[in-house]
Amino acid sequence: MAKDEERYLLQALEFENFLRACLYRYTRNSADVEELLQETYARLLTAGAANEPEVRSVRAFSLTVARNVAFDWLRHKQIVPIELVADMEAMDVLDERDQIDAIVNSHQELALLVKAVQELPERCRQVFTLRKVYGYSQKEIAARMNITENTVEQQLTKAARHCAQALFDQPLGERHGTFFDRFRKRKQAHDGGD
Amino acid sequence: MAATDVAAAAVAWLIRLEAQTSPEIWDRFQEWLDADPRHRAVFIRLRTAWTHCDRLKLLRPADGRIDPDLFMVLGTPPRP
Repeated sequence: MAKDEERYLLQALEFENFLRACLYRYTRNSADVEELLQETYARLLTAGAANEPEVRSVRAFSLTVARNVAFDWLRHKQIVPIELVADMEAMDVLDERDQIDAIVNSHQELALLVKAVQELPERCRQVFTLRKVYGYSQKEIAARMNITENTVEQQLTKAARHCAQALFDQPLGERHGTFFDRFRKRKQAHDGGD
Repeated sequence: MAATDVAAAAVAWLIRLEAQTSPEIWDRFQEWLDADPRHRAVFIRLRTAWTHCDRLKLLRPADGRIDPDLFMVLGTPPRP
């Protein structure tokens, strides 16, 4: 079934900032990280389509895929990465206890989304509002706002890009700190025989 | 192809396909998807985010009024 092959990718999207943080270990350049992330997702799609046993932990699997992508890229650039093996193994501890995070995250997500929409230029925001809150078609929006359908399409494209960025691209400064704080706390609990 | 170019193409397709379509447009879309495995992955990512935005229908006021400036009236979103 075609939809099935998306399952690893869709799950991985939920912790994109985790993958991104991992990829930042291999390069400081955000454009490079974007490329590596896209390649990681492409491989997750391929994995989803393959006739292999079901992956037990999508998080650990995605991390492995991301690391392989990074290594391939570095090998191509002829750079040898220094790997902290103990560090990477400890990251498997993060698989459990995700439900609470999911609930907290959905409140945060809505707040982030609202903020992102408030940042849009006026006409763009209005077009977006009519489309996503009120369910107007592009044709209906054009008629109501007295603009061309082409313009509606352009504005929605801009809005979609901005909202996707708000939902997935957490600024590294903010979320990054939280993520590694949680990681450290869990590692302590885990090492203490939790 | 640069990551930003793929993302730009993906979002353009995403929005284009929500408007009037034709078999020719869908064929061209399929060609674009088939051109590079990254295209599909990035498209799915954007589609997922765009679908998440449907949640915003919850903000529709109960009195049925249509307000394109709804988001500017909101402070922080109410806790569900």
